[in-house]
Amino acid sequence: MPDAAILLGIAIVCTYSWRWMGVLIAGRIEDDSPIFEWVTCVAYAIATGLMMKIILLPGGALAESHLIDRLAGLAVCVGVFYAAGKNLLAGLGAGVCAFMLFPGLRSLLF
Amino acid sequence: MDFRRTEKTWGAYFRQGAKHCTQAPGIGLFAAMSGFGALARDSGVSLLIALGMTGGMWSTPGQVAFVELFATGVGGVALIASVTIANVRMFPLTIATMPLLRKRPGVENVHFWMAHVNSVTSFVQVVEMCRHVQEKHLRTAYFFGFTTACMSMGLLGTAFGYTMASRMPGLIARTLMLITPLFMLLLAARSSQRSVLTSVVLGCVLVPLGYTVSTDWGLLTGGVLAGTLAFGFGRMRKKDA
Repeated sequence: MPDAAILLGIAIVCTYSWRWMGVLIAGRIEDDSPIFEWVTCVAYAIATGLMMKIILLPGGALAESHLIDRLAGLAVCVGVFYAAGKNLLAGLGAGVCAFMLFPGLRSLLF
Repeated sequence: MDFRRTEKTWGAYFRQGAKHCTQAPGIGLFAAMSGFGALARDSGVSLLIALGMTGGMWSTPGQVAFVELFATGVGGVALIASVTIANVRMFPLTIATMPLLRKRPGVENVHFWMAHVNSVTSFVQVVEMCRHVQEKHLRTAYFFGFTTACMSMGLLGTAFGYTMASRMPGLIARTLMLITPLFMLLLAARSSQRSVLTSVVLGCVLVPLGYTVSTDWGLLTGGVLAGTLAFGFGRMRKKDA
């Protein structure tokens, strides 16, 4: 495993290259062409898939929590988000509270 | 939100942009980045590296992919490839943003800096702002005010999450780490595009599945497969219609 600083340097250059290419070809290409729809699909799949991986299969300190508590947090988060008319902060706040309270609630009930 | 200012100066619009960032977008960003800070701390990178990721990459999926894969000790090539593909969203995002802000067609040096500080949050805000503000130089002023404040909130959030994660009881620290995943999932669920929502559902299944097969390449292959399938389904639906 190479040094974190070297990896970070390469990662910054690679990330910036997307933005750099975007600047150069902006305006010369329609931004509703199929290739962009595909790029957007891949970007969302990988980003949300990664987040789901952290919830289902976390490493480190988060792995000390129970899967059922993390799923309860996710369920409340998504439920409140839609119930509040796709309000992001409301969903996030409710999900976080549910994750913190659910372990206590479980021990009381079961 | 009030976008128009009576005083039509660069400074007034810069300040207005910064002010708007400190409302809902900035709070969300601070929360997401404090979650990232806690994840970074947990993965064993230094605070300086974590701040370097926020300031240098400025794209949450890639930052989170970096610390997740770094923690599992995958090979350098797999890590860089996964981070790069996780950040591919910056390419269409830049292409969509530039025409809204530039004064005339063509490339100016300032565009390269604009592209760096731009983000999904800023793009959403800029689209809304451009419906109210027509003058290109005032749009630029607002954009820089908004993004400067966003970057500051992001860096503060990263430092906050990183330092708090080790000083707080276990439950609070774990809660911090759950913020970024929940935030990013909701951000994606806000999209009204059907193919994006299909990508989210397929990604949530195929990426964790891929990860159990290969820690090095599962994230990348699962994500590309899920996105491509969602794109294909979207195309088929359009053909049928």
